[in-house]
Amino acid sequence: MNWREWQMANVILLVEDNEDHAEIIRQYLNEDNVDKVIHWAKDGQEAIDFVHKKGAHANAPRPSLIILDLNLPKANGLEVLKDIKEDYDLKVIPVVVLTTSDQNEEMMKCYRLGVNSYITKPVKLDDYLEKIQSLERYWLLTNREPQYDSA
Amino acid sequence: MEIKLEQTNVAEQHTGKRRIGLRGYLFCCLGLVAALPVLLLGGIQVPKWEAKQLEGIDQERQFVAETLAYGIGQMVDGHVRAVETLAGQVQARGSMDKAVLQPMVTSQRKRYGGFSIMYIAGPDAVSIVDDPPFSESGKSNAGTNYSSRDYYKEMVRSGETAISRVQIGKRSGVPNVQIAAPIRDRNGGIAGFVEGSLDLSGIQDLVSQVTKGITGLNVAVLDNEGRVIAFPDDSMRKAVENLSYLPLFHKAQANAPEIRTGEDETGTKMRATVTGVGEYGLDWTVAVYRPQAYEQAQTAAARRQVLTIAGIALLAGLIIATLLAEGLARPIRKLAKVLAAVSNGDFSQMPDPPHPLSSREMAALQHDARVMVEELKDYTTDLEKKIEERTEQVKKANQELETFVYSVTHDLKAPVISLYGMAAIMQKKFSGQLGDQGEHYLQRLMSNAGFMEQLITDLLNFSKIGKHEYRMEELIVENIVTESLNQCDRAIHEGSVTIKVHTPLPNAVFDRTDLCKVFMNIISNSIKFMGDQPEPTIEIGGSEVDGFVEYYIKDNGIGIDPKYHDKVFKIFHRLKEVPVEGTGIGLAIVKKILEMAGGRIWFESTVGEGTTFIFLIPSNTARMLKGESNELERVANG
Repeated sequence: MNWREWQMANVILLVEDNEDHAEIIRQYLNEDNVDKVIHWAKDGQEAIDFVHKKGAHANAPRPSLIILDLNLPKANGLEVLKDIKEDYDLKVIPVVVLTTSDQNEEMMKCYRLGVNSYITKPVKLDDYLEKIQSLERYWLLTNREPQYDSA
Repeated sequence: MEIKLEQTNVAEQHTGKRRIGLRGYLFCCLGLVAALPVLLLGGIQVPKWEAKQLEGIDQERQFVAETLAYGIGQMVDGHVRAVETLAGQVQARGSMDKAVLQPMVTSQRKRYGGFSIMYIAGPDAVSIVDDPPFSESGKSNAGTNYSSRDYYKEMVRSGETAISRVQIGKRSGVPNVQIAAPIRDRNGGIAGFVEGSLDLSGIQDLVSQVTKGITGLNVAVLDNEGRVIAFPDDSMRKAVENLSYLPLFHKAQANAPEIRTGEDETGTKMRATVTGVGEYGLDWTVAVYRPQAYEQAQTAAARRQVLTIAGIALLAGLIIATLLAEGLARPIRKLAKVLAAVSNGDFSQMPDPPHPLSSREMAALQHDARVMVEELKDYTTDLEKKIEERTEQVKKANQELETFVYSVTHDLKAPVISLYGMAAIMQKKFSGQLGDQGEHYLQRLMSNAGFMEQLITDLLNFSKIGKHEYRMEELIVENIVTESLNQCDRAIHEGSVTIKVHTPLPNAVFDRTDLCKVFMNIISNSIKFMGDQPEPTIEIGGSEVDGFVEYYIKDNGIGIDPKYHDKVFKIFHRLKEVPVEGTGIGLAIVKKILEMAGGRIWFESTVGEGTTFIFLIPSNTARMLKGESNELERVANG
C-alpha cells in the first residue's frame, strides 16, 4: 500500500484499552473484504491526539469510523466522544460505542453527546460479527460524509 | 406516612364537631351558677312580695275602716252629748217655759252643726219649742205630738238617752237618727225630753274626706239593720238600700276588724275589711272594700316587678358567664389549636407565653407546652437533618453500589469476552489442527464462557429488583398467568406439559412486570424439574385469605428433598442431582420480589410426587408499596 492508497483507504480508529478485545475486534473486522486500515488507540488521550493529529500522531489520517469503548484510562470514552462531537470538523465522523456497559444512563449520555450507534459487547462476539461487519460496511461504504481539505 | 395518617384520624376524632367545646361547658356551668340563685330568690320572693303587697292593701283598707268607724262614733257621740247637755241645762233651770226654752234650743242647735231639727217636749211627748220653729211651709213646729216615735218609747222604757233607728228625712231625703235625752224632775221622774235629729250626711262627708286620694276604694256604712247609710256613690243616698243579704256586709264586731271576700250588690267579687261602730248600741258596720281583680292586678304587678328584676339579674349573670367562659376557654382553645397544628407537623405557630392574669395551672400548661413544642421542633429539625444526612449517605452508598455493580459487570465480562473471543478465533483459524479432543475442550471452554455470561447477567438483573419504579395497578391475574404461560410456551411445548388453571383466580394489586416474573419463574422452574414424568402436569389456582391473596403452582415433577428446603430460594443454588440448565437465580428473584412487596413464598413437596409453590400478596400492597417506592424515590432524588 503506497502513501496515496493509505490516504484513500478507509481508516477505522479502534479505541480499546483491553488488548485482547482489541485483538478480537480487529480479527473480526479483518474478515470481510472491505479495504481499510485499523488504527488502535489504547486510551482516551491517545484517541484525542489521533483525531487532532497531535504529538506522535502528527501524520495520522482522518478516521472514517471510530469504534469507541467507554471504560478507558486517561480520558474515558465519554470525554473522547464529547471532544469529537464538539469539534466542528470532526463531528461528522461516525462514532460507534462498543462497550460492556448496558446501563441506561450511560447510553443516554452517549446519545446526548451525539453518538451514532451504541452496541453492548456480547460475550459471544461472533454472533454479532455479521452485524458489526454490516455496520462497518454501512458506515464505510454506504454512508457519505462531506469531503474535507486534507491539506 | 401511615403513622401520620393515623395521627390525623385521631386528631379528627378528638376535635370532631360532635363534641361540645370548653367554652360551651364553662358557659353551661357558670350560667347555671349564675341562674340558680336568681331563680331561687325569684321563686321565694315572688309569693313573699305578693303577700306583702296584699298585706299593704289590707292594712290600707283596715286603716280607712277604723278611721271611719272612729269618726262616725265620735260624731254620734258628740251629738248625743249635745242633746244630753241641753237636757241637763233645761233640768237645771227647772222651767218648761216656752220663752226660756226657745233660745236654749236655738243656740244649742247652732253650736253643734248636723242637727236637722231639735225640740224640747213635755212628758206627754208634745213639743214645747222647736228649732227651727217653723217648717218650710210656715207652719209652727211646736205642739207636735211625738209620742208615737220609737225613741220616745225607748227613752221612757229605759229612762236613758235613746237613739232611733235610721230614717230618711221626709223632706230632706237625708238619712238621720233622732237622739232623745230625758229631762228629769226633782223626784227623778221624767219631766220631758230633748230631741235632736242628727243628719247623717255628715258621715258622707267623713267618708269623702278619709278616702280622698285613695283610688278604687269603696266604702259602705250600714246601720244595724244592714241598710246603707253612707255610700261613696251619691246616687245611692236616697235609696238606703238594705244589703244585709250579702255576706260581705253582714254585721261586724266593733273594734275587731275582719277581712271578708264576697260579692257586692253588682255581683263583683270584693275583698273587704269590715269593722263595727258600737257607740250607744248603734251596731253599725263600716265596710271598706275593693274589687279582687284590683288586688290581683296589684299582686300581678308586684310579681312582674320581681320577675323583671330577676330576669335582668339572670341576663347579667349569663353575660358575665359568657365573658368568663370565653376568657377561660380562649387560652386553652388557642393552645389546642397550636398543638393540633404541631401534631400535623406544622411548627409555624408557637403556644402563647403565659398571660399575667393566667391561673397558675394555665400558666404552667402554657409554659410547658411552649417548652415541649420548642423541644419537639428542635428534635424534628434535628431528625430531619439527620434523615437528610442519612439519605445523602444512602444515596452515596447507592451510587457507590451502582458504580460497583457497573464495574464488576464490566470487569467480569471483559475477561469472559476475551476468553470466548480468543477461543472462537482459535476454533476458526486452527480448526483441523487440534484434533477431536482439542476441539471438544475448546467447545467446553466456549460454553462455559457463555454460562459465565449468563450468570453475570442474572446477577445484574437480581441486583436491579426493587430499583425500578413500581407501577401498582389492579391486575386481572388470569391474564397475567396467560401471559406468563405464553412466555414459557416453548418449554411447555417441548416438555408436553399439561397446564390446568383453576379459574376464577382472585385479582391482585401489584406491578405487572414483577407478577409476570413471579409466575414465569415458578412455572419454568416446575417445567425444568419434571424429571421423566410421563404425564407432566402443572396446576395453577388461587384464593383470598384475610388481607392476602394466595396463589399456588402445583406440579407432579421430581419433588424437592426436605433437606434442600432452605436452599431452594437462595441465589445460585441448584439441585446438583438433576442435570438441568439455568443459573439457579429464578426462585431467588421470585422470593425477593414478593418479600419486597410484603408477600411470602414457600412450598410443599414430596420427593417423586411433585411440588406446590404457594405465595401470598397482601391485599393492601398498593398503599404499602406506594409508600415504599416513594421512599425509594426520595432516596434516589435526595
